[in-house]
Amino acid sequence: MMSVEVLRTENLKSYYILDIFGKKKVIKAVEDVSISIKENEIYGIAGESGCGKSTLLKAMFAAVEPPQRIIGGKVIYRDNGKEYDVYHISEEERKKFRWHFISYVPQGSMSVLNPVMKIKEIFKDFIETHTKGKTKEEIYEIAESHIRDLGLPSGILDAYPHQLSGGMRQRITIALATVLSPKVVIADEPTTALDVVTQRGVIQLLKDIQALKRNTIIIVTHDMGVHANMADRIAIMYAGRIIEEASTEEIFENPLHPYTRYLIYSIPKFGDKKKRESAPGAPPSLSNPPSGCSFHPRCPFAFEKCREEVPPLKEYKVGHKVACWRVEEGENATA
Amino acid sequence: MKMLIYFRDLMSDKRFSFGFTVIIILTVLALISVMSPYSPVRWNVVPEEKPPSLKYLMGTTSLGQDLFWIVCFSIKNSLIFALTTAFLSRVLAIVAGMISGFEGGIVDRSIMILSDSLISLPRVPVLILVGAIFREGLNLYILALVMASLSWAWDARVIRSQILSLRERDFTLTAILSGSKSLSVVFKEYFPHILPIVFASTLNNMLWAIGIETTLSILGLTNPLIPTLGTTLHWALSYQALFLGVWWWVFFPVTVLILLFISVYLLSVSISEYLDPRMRIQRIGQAR
Amino acid sequence: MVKYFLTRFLQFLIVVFLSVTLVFIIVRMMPSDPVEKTIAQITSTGTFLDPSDVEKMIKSLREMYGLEGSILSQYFQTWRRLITLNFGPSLSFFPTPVSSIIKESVFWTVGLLGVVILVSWTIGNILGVIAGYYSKKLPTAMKLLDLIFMIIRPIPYYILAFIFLVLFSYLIPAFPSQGAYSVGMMPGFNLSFIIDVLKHATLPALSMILLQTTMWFQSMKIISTGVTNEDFVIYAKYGGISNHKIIFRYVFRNALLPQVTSLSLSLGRIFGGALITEIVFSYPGLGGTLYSAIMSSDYNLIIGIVLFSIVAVSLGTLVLDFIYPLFDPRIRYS
Repeated sequence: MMSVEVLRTENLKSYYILDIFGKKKVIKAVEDVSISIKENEIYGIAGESGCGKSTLLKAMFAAVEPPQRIIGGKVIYRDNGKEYDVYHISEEERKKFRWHFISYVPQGSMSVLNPVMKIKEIFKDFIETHTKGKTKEEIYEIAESHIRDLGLPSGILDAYPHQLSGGMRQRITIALATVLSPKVVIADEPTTALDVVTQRGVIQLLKDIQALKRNTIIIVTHDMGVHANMADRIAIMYAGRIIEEASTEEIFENPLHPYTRYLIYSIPKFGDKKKRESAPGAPPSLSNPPSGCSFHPRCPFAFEKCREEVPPLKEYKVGHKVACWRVEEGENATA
Repeated sequence: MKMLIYFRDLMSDKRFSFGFTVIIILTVLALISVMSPYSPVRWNVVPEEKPPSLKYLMGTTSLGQDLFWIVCFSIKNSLIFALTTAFLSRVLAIVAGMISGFEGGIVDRSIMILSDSLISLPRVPVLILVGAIFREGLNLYILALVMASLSWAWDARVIRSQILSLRERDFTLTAILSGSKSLSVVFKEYFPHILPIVFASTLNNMLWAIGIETTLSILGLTNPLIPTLGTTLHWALSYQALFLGVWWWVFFPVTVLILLFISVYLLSVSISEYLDPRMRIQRIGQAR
Repeated sequence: MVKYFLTRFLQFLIVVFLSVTLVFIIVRMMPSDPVEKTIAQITSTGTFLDPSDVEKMIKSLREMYGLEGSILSQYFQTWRRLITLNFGPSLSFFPTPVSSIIKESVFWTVGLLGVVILVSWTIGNILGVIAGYYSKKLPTAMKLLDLIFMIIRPIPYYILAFIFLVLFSYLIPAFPSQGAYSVGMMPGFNLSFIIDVLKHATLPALSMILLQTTMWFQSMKIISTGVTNEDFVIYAKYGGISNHKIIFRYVFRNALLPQVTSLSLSLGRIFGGALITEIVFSYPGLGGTLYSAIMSSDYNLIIGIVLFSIVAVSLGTLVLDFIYPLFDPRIRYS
């Protein structure tokens, strides 16, 4: 299925530049990321914590605040057939894309609701900012019908955040992010810190929204189970780089990168008592990444070239990209 | 070695380096008071009411004293007083906070009720009352004791909650299981966590102590024969120094006082920011 | 909710009990006998007194000071005086009762303190929230303000009030140096009297407002810097909500709650500052009156004012704590 691109990044680089009592420290959180996301798909980004996933999301959402900085590359939004290079337009123009075109469900979104405001007042502030000339009643009406569409009880609009459960707050946040039907919804670890039953509810809610609004969802989580359940395509991120990208089916059935295999085999399966094998060693430091392929210190198949050169992300099959010298060598051998 | 690194980090904060420099200068002035050619309590040792000159750096008073040396003595006494008060008050705070945190139950509750009461007690009327009752009999050590017993409460609370949260962590249990005595546990495991809290608040307590001492002294509610910055101003005001044009008698003590307050305050602000990890992240965000 | 009120009220009673006991103990520790001191004071004016009159006077003075009977009955006497608000007659304004002097002075102190707290709390908090919200890149004017406040903040009330007095009353004689209104002015509700009162109140009020604004500013700045980093503020920024709205509806409203608590906690200190400032400007509030009572060794008046102050401040704190839940939905609805 060929579908239209809605957002892409070109060689995006985003670092944190810190100054700790006179000592400069650079954390290379996003390094040379080029991805293309299509309309009406659920795109998953997976990786361990600290691999730069959240930084990538913030860069795509164009909400970069110091000490985070965009060092190079582009983020392109495609809205109504026109392309916008978001880091070459003004802050005011960037803000206009928010909520209408692109929206964000942040990590730990339990605490994104202002504790001293009622839910409906929070909705009002967000809606009011992005719509012109609506009365208070009309705005409340938008919020209420959206809440009803998502199957949430409309009574919660009159509640204060602390009166709701964690799962409900998470759902409210998702509702808040999608209230103006954005084309792209970015969700950062939406199921972390929730119990299993609530997790299912939240995943279902996101899927429902996608079915209802036919928009794009970019979901980031370290939980491969969630990806298996939701995503159409998955990108695997390691030490700030995308190391593999393919359709969900392909990733799970035919993972090429050794790290991807570790990630997949770390999902517990029902009735399987074998100890899960996760990648040995710790994730690399982003302020001082290893030379060459950053996975080489943990990789059982690493050889000389892996220590010296960064492998490029190359397409080996239609729709299946991977950045690994071993795959490249194997490919050359068979060719 | 570690201290040196902390110090270097702190010195990169302009507020700290300013405060530190001023405090060093004031301390030097306090120290050279031992070289004073005159006793601070003797009058008419120099000509009266001479304006500042090379001979009399800060001029002389209507009482025939060399103001420079009086100010040196005053700084010494004010600093000793502030340190004594802060020390006594911190000792009370540590003892009360630790007992409260470790004992729990009724002991904890009574100490907390007492400290709550002390926190909301208006201290100035009580201290003025103490001054009014004791008058000249109020020497700096009694005053320090009274002030210390009024100012330990807040820190005791902080220490107590710190201990309660530390007790939740593993190492207490491990230490007790491995058979070490509880007192040595207290000193080895808890002190490193409590001392930073105590250190930052010591400076604030010193500020408060000098402020109150100065105020009571200017009002004539302490022994006026002990030279402090407050009693010096007390004499100046009761001799109508400003009306008689002896402005230096007021100007220098007030200037030294203000410098002392500002520098101690800047030290305390910059140290407590340094100790508070959240604030440190703020600083990191700000730098650049 | 009910439990919160009950605990708070119980705490109030304990504070009052402990501080009255403390005052009683301090007064008992007086090195000299106040009765002898008073007699000496009267005879030193040159008045000749019959020895039997002196004897009678000593007895009545002892009664008046509550020094008759055992320590325990003296202690209960102190309580009785406090509860009935009858602290006996003042000596320096004999025979005016202490309670009516307090009543007069309270008016000036409450007026001054009320204006000072209202103005400084409002200005300090508004400036503070702006400084906290923009703390990552503070505008130059704000940086300057921050610096000036940081320098003024640690100066004690007495010294700042004294500097104001010297600057604006002696060097530039713009404002009167003492009293609440000019000598010879008849108190009344007319324009010239009100202007006179305002003129007299300007310096004491300004010096206190300046100090307290710095205090509220700095604590608000720290609190709102923290709130600005909270997820709900960051999210509101993501949502493109205007800075103005975020500052006042998101940061300010959340940072205000600790500032209300902080007001109730620092009421005692603020009151102490007012006492001292009044002394500098001989303002006829509780502070000014207390100082003249000390100067004339009027112990009834001293003790009366101190006891009254403690109870009044504790009561003020209690009231603030009682209205606190109105600000915080998290307490209101639990």
